Amino acid sequence: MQNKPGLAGLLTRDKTAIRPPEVKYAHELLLLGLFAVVFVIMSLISPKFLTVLNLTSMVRNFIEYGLIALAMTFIIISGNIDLSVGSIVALVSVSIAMVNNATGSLGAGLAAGVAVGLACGAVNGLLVGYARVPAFVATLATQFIFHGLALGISHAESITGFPQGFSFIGIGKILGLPTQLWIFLVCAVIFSFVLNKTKFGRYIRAIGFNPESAYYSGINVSRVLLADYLVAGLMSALAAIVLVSRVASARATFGTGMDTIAITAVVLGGTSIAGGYGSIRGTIVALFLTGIIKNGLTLARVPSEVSTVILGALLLVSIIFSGNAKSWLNIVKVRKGKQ
Amino acid sequence: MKKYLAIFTVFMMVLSLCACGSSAPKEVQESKGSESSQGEAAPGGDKAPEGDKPTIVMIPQAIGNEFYVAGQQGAIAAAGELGIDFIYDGPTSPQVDQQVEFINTYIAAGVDAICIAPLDSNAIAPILQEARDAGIKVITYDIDASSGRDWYMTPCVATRYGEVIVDYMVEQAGASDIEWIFLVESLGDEFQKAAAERAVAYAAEKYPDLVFHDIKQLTQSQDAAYKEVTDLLKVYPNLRGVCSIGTIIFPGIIEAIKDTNNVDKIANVGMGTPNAIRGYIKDGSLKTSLMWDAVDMGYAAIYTAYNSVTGTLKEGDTTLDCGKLGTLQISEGGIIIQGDPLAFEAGNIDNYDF
Repeated sequence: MQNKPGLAGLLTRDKTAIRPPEVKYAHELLLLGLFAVVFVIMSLISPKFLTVLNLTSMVRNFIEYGLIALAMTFIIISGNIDLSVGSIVALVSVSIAMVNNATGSLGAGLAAGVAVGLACGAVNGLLVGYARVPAFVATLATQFIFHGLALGISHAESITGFPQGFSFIGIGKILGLPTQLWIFLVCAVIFSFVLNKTKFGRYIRAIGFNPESAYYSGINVSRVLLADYLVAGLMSALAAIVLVSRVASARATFGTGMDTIAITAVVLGGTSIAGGYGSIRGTIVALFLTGIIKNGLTLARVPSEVSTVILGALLLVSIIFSGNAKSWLNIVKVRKGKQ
Repeated sequence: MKKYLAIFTVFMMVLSLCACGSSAPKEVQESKGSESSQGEAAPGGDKAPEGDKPTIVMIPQAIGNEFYVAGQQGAIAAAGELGIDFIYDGPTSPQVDQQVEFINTYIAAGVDAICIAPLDSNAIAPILQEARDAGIKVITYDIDASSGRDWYMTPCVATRYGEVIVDYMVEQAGASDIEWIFLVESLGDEFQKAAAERAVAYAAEKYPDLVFHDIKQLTQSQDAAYKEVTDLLKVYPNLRGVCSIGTIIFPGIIEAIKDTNNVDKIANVGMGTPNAIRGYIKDGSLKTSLMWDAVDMGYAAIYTAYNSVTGTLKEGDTTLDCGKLGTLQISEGGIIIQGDPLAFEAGNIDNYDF
């Protein structure tokens, strides 16, 4: 069995110690190759795929998931999970709409939305970080609570009444690219930087490897986890803003299933579901990969039941062959050693 | 080196899935087109509009939903008659953001018309407007959007439903001086509200001796509706007529009337799909369910879309020639009317499966 060199490496900035060197980029490369292949296939089977209109509008379909997936990458690297992000999106959506309508000020609505997102994140963070409730259970519970609140305050009705200009985020463009793509790119750069270049990034990886030893190494695990969930709440709020802007209305059913899609992108991107290692670039490639598969299959007239099955199969195959590449390669090594 | 084997396997898997995925459904769709269709194109070949054959995509609230599957059958029949390149696609679960995603994709695909049953009238409006801006004809069916569509094919006009349901209740009761109530699932629903209000007004005009009690909103659940109706029957012991709208509450209402031994005393008319109420019709606990034919709904939606694309259907038209359904009326605001509500009764219920 492999000894875990991770923690010492993390604390001494020796990044190579985090993972066995032979798998450092294996998963990302595999995904990138897959992305290229799928891209070519989709271009071949559907003449509408490789058009500026399709490629730009396609992005709008999954940026909201992407924003959440960035934060989810952090959470999963820290060895936790957040099943409540979809419900946070719902609660933030209706909060924005109701405050906007009550005050007549979109700014107040957006501020309220961000505040609600952070509050939800804080609840999760306190439960997981301080009350030590297992993340799966804690966020499963808050998933119901946040969704119930959203349904309750909105009476399950659709709420409209946003000013015209608000749609710029959801359906506008900057330099020919959808506004939300720019938002996503900026966030992606920040997340990547934080994960790779800051103490916080090293801390969440250390906690993901082994929370006990992280704690005894002097890391304030509770506080890091709280921050982790606050970030998830914030990104959920941002996703909600993009979504609400795109559809010019809010409803408590928004965000349903977003959690699983975000988790899918993260895991497909090579982040270990057990925590400890993972990358933002993997998540991004996985996000775009699933995006073009869904879009391309729709254009190729593959019924959506079939494309969901294909996505599920892809996730499984990717994890079997590569998500666990670390342990898998070790098994291979051990076998070779015995021979 | 197993790494390369792994990569290769994944590639092959995706390749094979894409390959079978792209050709299989195409055959199905093509075969439903006109006889003159050029048959199967090269595998993985061109999906661009073939000649002047319009491409129409139909997006239900959720695929796999019985009701919309029936609509799909009608739509396929219409597409066959008209020679349309027909696509049926939509969310696997009823989520409006997924519906928006499909519309987004089909705008890029450059279809000629989109037929959609919106999950959320408001949320769908901006993307529908975008589709129209891209020159795509937008037809809503079953449910209307708050804006952004060219035509709305309604299976039934709410006010007309309100009138017909009262007529059926009076006929079933065999008396026009009974006490009655109107039950709805949601007063927030425009159709239910309009139909209920019209029913009350119409009853007062046409059957002045009817004693009306109340429009009651029940909880949107079969069990809750059952309890609420059981209580209502205690509040109004002389109740002899119950009209209702709401496919979820209807079985609860029927059960409540059945369990309180009121089947013969109370004339009960409401809205239920044939498959949901078949058992009650068969065992005699229900006489009439008032709804519409979902197959015809899909059929009429495609005729609307086709005629809108070809330009036969223009603003200001008052009628639409709709194949085997004959001539449909068009009311103000671009609303095509499928017809009067249809009563499912012991005599005809087995002709319907949705």
